[in-house]
Amino acid sequence: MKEDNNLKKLIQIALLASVGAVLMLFQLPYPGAGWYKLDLSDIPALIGGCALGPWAGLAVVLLKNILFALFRFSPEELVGIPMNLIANGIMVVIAALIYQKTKTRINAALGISTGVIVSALSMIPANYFILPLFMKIFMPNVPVPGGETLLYMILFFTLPFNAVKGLITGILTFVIYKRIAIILRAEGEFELPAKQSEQASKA
Amino acid sequence: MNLLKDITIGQYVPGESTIHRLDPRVKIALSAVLMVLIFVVESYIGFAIIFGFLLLVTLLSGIQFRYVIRGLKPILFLVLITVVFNLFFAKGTLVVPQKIYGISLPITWEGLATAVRMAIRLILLVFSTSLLTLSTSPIQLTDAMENLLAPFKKIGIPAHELAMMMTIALRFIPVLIEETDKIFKAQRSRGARFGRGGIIEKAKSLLPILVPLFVHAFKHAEDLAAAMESRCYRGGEGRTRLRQLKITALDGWAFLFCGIIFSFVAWWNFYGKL
Repeated sequence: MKEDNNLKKLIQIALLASVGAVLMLFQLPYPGAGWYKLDLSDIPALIGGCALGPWAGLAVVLLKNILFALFRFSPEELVGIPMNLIANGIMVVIAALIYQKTKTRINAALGISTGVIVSALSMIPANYFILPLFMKIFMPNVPVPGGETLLYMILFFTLPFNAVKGLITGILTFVIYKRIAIILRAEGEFELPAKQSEQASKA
Repeated sequence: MNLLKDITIGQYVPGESTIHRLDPRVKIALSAVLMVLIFVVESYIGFAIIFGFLLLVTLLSGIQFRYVIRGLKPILFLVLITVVFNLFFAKGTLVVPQKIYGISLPITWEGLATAVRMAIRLILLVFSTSLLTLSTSPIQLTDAMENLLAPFKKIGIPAHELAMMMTIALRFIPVLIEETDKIFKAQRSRGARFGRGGIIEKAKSLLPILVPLFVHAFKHAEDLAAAMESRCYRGGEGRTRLRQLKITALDGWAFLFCGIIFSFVAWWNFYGKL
């Protein structure tokens, strides 16, 4: 995180994490499986990743989860928080890496969608290893479903959930980012990407 | 609908009790040991001792029990699920061996024992963590985190920066909640509708709230950066503090007392078979 030493960036990360924690408080149980929580808290992290770089995005993910744990701790978060760290972390880093290369609208869409897809897919192996662990700790009597059953469970419950959550997050981030970038640019908050500033100066 | 009413943020109950005055680092360390202990303990005697210990701490802290109980509410669903699953999936001797109308109740003594143990374990776990957050302010926790992480600076963990960001984020959560509430009301007064239709519809209806919220957040960041820069903030190097963390005799006693109780529970669990 060496390149994050600049103060304003640190503060922006903190504020985005704060927004994330606020959004995490408004969570909705996912229809069908109550312990999956739908919330919009991945959006600030994704915006942070796109606007400030992958490290900043990761910092937002981390801080937001610590804040949430401070306020609403329950034992299921022992699974929920690491899962969110992995899922959201992967999403943010991939989106940021793609978008940071050239900051165009197409690249933003490409980065965010790749991030969302990879993150949803990454949840398959993550759940495959963490779910049995969770069951062993909290439900020692229940036979841990064997490889294939577990895989089906994940494919029919976890994957759709993560896909829905990722889709909502991705679309909203894309729309929001575009709008706030316009507003913040007008106030000199963000530097214009090279191409656009050329066009801007011509016009 | 008032958003502010539904959301309680942070649980800290201010106070001057013995528990409040303990060093947050000591509290974090002892809570961590206790959490591990709760997962390891199998005997009911052990649970009873831990429960008694937590009751004592609650009494000492002067925190009303309703706050503790409120903290237990969100886990009711989880407790219920674990109990049901543990109850019905165990192999062993049946509690009701007779068949009633040709159906036997698949509840075994072993299942019952695990279910009860799991419920106790979950409740104790949340009890102990909420005692920590009830008696320690988030700022104290952040200070303790910075202090505990400081040795890891050498391997590149920016302890001061993380703690500073935590403090800022904590400071702005109430502000942002209030602003969310205001934006919500403002948009509603313009005729916006929330929470209707399918998931996608609902998500879309949140846009008029999210966009201003992010703009606000970035504005706050801008202002705060200007304020801090104009006061010559330059990182954690050589910075002095208003509130210093100090280990006192009280912390020593707490360590001794908890050490005796925790090691007794652990010893009883492994050697003192009942």
